[in-house]
Amino acid sequence: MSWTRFFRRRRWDEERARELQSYLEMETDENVARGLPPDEARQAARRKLGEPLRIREEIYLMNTVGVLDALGQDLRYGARVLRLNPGFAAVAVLSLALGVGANSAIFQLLDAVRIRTLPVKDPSELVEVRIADRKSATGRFTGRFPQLTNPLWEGIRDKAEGFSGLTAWGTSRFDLSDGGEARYAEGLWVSGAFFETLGVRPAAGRLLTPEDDVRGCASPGVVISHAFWQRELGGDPSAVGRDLRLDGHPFPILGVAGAGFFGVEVGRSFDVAVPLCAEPTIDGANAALDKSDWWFLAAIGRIKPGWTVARATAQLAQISPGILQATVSPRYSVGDAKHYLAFSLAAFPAGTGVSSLRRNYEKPLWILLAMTALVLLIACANLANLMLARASAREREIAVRLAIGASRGRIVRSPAGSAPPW
Amino acid sequence: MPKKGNPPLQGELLQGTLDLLILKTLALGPAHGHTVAHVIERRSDDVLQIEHGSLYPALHRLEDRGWIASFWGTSENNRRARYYRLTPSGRKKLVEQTSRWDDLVRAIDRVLRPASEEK
Repeated sequence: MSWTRFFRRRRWDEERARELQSYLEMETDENVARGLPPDEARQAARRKLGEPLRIREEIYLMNTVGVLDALGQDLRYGARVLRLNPGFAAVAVLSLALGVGANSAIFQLLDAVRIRTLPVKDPSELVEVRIADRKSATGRFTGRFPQLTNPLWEGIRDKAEGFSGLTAWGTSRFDLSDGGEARYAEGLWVSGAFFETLGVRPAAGRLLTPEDDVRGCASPGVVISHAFWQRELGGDPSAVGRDLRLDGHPFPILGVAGAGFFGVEVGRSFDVAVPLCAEPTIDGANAALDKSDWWFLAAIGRIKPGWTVARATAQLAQISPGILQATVSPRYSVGDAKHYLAFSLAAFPAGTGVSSLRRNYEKPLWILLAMTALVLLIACANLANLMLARASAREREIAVRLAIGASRGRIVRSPAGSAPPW
Repeated sequence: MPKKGNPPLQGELLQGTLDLLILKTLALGPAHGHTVAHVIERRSDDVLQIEHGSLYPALHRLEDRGWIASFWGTSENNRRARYYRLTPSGRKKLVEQTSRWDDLVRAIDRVLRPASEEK
């Protein structure tokens, strides 16, 4: 029977009542048979048995879990009191609901922007590689994360140790239209190891590999996001292999990235990822690949097993001067070059991805969360005050409860489980 | 409330004894509470005057532990009554408790009448 008896105790009690009744009847019968008058026979039977109510209570108590029972009573009492004071109930429920609702709403936002990790394999291993404490730099900046130039990236790619995978990416926009009105897709410039490094699986076709991204490739394959595939191509499996026009140049679609992969930028999602080597195809003579003062890339890598972020940073700092020396832009002034050469590369944890949303809104969101938490606290304090104010009005009730045998603990608990009379 | 296993009898002697008596009574065959009470009284030559009311919590406890089972039936003189019968685990318990009881009686006996006194 075990604990389930707790929920069946009422039925049990009825059963016991009937059982005790049948005992009384039998005993009375026997007494009558022994020659007692019916009245006396019944009384004798009662004496023999003892008080039925006390017996039933004893059995009932065997079946209850005291704390649960008391809790149930308190809750029932609380519900009763609330029903009798709808005004108070409405105020209490509303203020608490608003407080809790606002808190969870803000927290959800914060979770999406700050806390949730990227939907890729082992996001905790991901690190960002960029120039530490770069306050200013000279040159041209495009995309939302202009942290590195391509020559700088190539230097890092060739010399950095401590990463089991390292990749660069930059944001861009591509015109999908075939002439006529421009229709833009959110684009990503990615180095060949992008999908490999992040551990993304294809939903169809295949993803880019380092072999797709070699200097001089004219129109390599591109990878589209799952959302773009569904939205623009109707999720058609035969889309793989078809050409996609980007800024007027045809690129064959190699494959579709797994559903849920939106890139590494929280709050944005990419439509199409194009290998870096195709940049000259699109940008023509104005290509960025060899310009060491055109900042448009960001690097993200996966830390090697056994390495730490600090160790990777130390190694990056060691190779920084060489890379910087080799990539000073000829168009820099002496001052610019000196400033540029003082940079130092470093690694930063990036398991939660990067985000301009975060950059701009993280602090306000935390403040908002703190404020809503405070509002909830104030609501609670108000309610507590209301209850306290009414406690004195309950003096008589408490006196009566004590008189009929309530323990002090129960008295203290009962207003906590409910609201006092209005 | 004593749990399954072999708790010390100390302090629970009376309660444990009542359980044992009930189990023994039911070993003869299914019976309802009224019968059990009277059988215990009669077989002890009315030495054990149990309060019949205290029998029911004990029955409930035994049923809760699965040593006896109950069902509704009709008594000899055509009244609805709740019958109890021994379950297999109750039967095992009875054997176990009986031997425990024998041990206890022997032990007390040895203390009360040491061998040296018998000479």
